[in-house]
Amino acid sequence: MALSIANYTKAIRSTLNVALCIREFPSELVEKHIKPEIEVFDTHKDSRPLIFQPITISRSEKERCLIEGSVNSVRVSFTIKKSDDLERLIVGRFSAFFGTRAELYEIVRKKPIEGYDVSFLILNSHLEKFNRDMIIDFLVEFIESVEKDISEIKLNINTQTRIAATFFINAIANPSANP
Amino acid sequence: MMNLDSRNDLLFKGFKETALLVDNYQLTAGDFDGTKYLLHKVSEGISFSFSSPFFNEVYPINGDAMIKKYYSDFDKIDAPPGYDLSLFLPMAKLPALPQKTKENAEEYKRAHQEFEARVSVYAEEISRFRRNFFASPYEKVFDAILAGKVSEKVEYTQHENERIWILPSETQVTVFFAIHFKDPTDQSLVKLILNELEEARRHVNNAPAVAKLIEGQVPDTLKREFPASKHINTSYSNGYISITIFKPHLTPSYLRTSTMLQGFRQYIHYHICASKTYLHGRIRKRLNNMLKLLNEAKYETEIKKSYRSLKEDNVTVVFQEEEKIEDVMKKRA
Repeated sequence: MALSIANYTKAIRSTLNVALCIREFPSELVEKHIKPEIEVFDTHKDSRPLIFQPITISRSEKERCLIEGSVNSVRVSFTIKKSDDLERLIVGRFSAFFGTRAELYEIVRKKPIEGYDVSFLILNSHLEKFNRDMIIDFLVEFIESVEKDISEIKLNINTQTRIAATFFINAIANPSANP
Repeated sequence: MMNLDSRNDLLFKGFKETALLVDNYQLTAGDFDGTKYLLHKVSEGISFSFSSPFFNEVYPINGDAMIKKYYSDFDKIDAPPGYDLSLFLPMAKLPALPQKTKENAEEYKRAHQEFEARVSVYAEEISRFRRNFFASPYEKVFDAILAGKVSEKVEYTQHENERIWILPSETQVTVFFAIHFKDPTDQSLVKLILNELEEARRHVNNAPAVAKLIEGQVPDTLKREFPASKHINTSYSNGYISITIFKPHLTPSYLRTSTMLQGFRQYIHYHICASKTYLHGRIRKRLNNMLKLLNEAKYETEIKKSYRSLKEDNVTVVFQEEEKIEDVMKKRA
């Protein structure tokens, strides 16, 4: 059963508050390099002590949020609810657009984690540039508004389609003297 | 906008311009559904050639009557290689244009305007050639219904990977379209508009019967009337849709109906492109908003300070950082 969005965002906000306590940590594998440990963990399991337990917050079966923390980086992934073909199309486009603009946003991951639509990777260097509380606000606002936006787009497309179809049928059904 | 004009502007302008030029002017153009055109001006007249990948399926249905109806002033000539049909307009059909001299400036202007008017009429018809060609099967059926006769059923292809079946009777005609789109995005958008076409009956008075048939299966009516369709092995991505038009729909003029029917796929494609454009525009707008929001989260960067100098007549001086010790030592050395 889907919880209300307020509880969902409250849970995400408090988890992020804890997870975003990250600091600079030079890599233990390569000298003089700083690597985000959460990304290194995918290939080298040596950094296991540096990774925190990943947490999945679910609003329903289709809406999930995965927060994976580590000592110097945090990965936040979202799935957006898609109930039919058109919504799948819209969310797919949205996800692709986000990925191509990842450099512009700095905290967006170019490829979302498998099974999720959007992923963010936040490093300690980002927290030096961005205000920590405002990043959390940004992520929460993202989730709250994306659902509303998608349903607006869907409604608009359906309306446009209806107008186009009605025009076509009308042109056949009620022919006027001039073609 | 939604009522896309079936005129090909390139042909229209091209025809008007070639009429005034001298010799050996050629214009090639392409159009939807894989059609090609060739306009060729020689001193005796203008020839227009047309080619379509499905010419041999469509032309035998009603081609000759179509040419008689719309292009009676044109002669049919042998088509050049690569083209299927050629029409020739001899210069004799256009009003004569006298030589331009100082004396007959007024007369020349009048004659020129008359010439242009006649040329425009022909240009208009030529630029609608594709529409006339693909609408000719429908017009044959509509003529037969208005005359109370039954014309024969036909099937043909207008666009690659698609098929059209026309099933006429004395008072109505049912047209079956098999729609196919390659891109999966397009396919999901087409599903929407086909559903809406079916439901539009409720909103429009006098609507023709539209039935959306099960995808993946050849409809029973088709199997019955067109036995060859039982063995179709190409699958159409969006299935079949049938539109049934009754006799009252054909008065006062069936021209708009046949234009819409021949442009059915084009209409759907246009609508899909419009929806996709809208979708991308909305997504981009939203992403821009989000970027602005994210940039607000940044800390302020230090801006260079400036002060007004009291020494030099209140001039604004930019605050200079102190020189580093290394640079000063380098200068001395």
